[in-house]
Amino acid sequence: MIAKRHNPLPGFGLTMGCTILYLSVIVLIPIGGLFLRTLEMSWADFWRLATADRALAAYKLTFGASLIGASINAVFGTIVAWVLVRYEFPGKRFFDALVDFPFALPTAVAGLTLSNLFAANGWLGQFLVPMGIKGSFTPLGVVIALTFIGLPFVVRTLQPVLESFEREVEEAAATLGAGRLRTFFSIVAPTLLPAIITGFALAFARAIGEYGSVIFIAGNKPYESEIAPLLIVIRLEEYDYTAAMALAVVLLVVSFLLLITINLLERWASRYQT
Amino acid sequence: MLEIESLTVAAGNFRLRDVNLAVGRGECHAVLGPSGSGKSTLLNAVLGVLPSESGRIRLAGADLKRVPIERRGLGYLPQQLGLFPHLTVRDNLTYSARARGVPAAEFQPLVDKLVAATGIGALLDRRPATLSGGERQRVGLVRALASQPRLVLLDEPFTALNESLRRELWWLLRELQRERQLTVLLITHDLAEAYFLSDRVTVLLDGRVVQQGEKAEVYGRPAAPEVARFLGVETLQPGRVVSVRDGLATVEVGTARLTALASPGTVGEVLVSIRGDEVILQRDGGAVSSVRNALPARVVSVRPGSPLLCVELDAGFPLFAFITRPACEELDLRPGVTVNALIKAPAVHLIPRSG
Repeated sequence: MIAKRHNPLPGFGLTMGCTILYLSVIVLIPIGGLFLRTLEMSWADFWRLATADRALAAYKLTFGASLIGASINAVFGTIVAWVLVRYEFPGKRFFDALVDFPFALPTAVAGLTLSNLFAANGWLGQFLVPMGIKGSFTPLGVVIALTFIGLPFVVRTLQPVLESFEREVEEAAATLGAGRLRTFFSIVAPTLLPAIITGFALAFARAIGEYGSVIFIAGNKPYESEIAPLLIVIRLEEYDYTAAMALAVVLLVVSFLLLITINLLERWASRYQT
Repeated sequence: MLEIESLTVAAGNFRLRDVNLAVGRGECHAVLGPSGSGKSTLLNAVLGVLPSESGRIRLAGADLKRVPIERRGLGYLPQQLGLFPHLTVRDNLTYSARARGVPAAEFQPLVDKLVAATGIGALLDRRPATLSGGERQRVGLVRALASQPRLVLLDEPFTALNESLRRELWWLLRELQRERQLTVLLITHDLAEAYFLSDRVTVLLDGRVVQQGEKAEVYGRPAAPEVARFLGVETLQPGRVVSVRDGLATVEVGTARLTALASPGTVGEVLVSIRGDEVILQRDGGAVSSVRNALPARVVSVRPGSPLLCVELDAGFPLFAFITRPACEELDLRPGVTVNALIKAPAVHLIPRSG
């Protein structure tokens, strides 16, 4: 038996107590409460409320648009991070700061700005709408808003990884006979993949919960451009707490399952970094 | 094999100027210089990641200017090794076969040989992150050599390793180099490494070649004061040539007079360079010998070192000698003791003092 090492800082008991208390108050108790409330209704009621047609359409939009938004960010965020890390150009610091903009901007402001931009008489909308691309008040609007708010995640998770990625690795690959494409796909991409997946997961999780910016641009037509969080608010305004709870539990469970999946994916992708 | 002709390369504010360098087939050429001297710039130009402003680089007769990195036929061992973290050792080693589309069967015998020679056979299924520093170096080396490069580029190899491991790998590398007749360009700031591994040496300082030649020549006869300083010649003192007769020069250094081999250009004010390991210390007179310089000297201090101690002497000028610990004990060297410092004339090297 190895003697326990004495640590000069307050020990395991105190910090663990704080951790459990904090996580309980902030996460566990509210979620537990939510589940307890749903237990008050019968399984049949829950199923009926949770799988109503309007609810199903809302889930589909929320998860679908979040997935698309996060995917777009995974691709373009990678490119943005690459350019910001690898190249020196005038205005680099400005562009770097711009990445954080969606973080800093109040979501309502973002939603308002975007919906104005893509409306039929907006700056972009006046060109896009005649071409049949309707950004405001459609599911496409939801995707646009969710892409916007998810932008910083992939860029910010990837930047430190790219900074620590040695150029020598690429140079070694090149001297071993690999062209640019092969170097990128066989060497660079697999190394960056875990960070890209992490960024994707963060953007995705943020998008599922996003409310503020989406409701301005979505148009919020039931069955068409109504996101699940909004439907919860609508049910609450109708004093239909049980229906709201049922929807919330579904969102919670699906988000949780998605996070587990992404975590497993991440672990798989970073399996060699032990 | 490698010919560099009046190469000028700009890297940011730094500029490597007018470098001429030739490495013959099967030869190991060390480019030696302190950090910031332009070693890496030169390496990057040969590697193909930095364009040259003027001059040219030829490998096996072909101008490299328009040849992309992947077709230059280089074996590169970067300073941080650049192992592919997501691939096993085996896949790291066979990467170049896949990248070049060479059938594995054609490639395997050489890999097997190199793996056996470096003793990394047990590591093939592991990933780089699980290897020790020395093991990683071996993998990097085998990977670079396995692609059958025409030129091997070594960038400060083994600097991250401890002394004994470094020496072990030096031996391994030297054996491989001689056995396989590898043409090597070695970039290093480490004098011992350059001396051990190379045949010829180029000394770079501030972006210029200051000396080039056989390693013994460069180490024993630095061409300029700054080369002597960089090479860490222990005794480097201003002196004056007072007479030259029969190819021998008499030099006044401090209050002492030394005999050295005369060479053209070394008249008047010079710098006298004497390596610490060329100085012999003797107690109590001693018989007549062929040594031209026998200076009475007083021990000022004895600095510990391993395996050699450094003895600082006052011989009319500050003189440093390297001796072994047993020798020190036998001579009973302590500060204040008087000894004879013997230096052969050819070991007294005169450097013209320009400007």
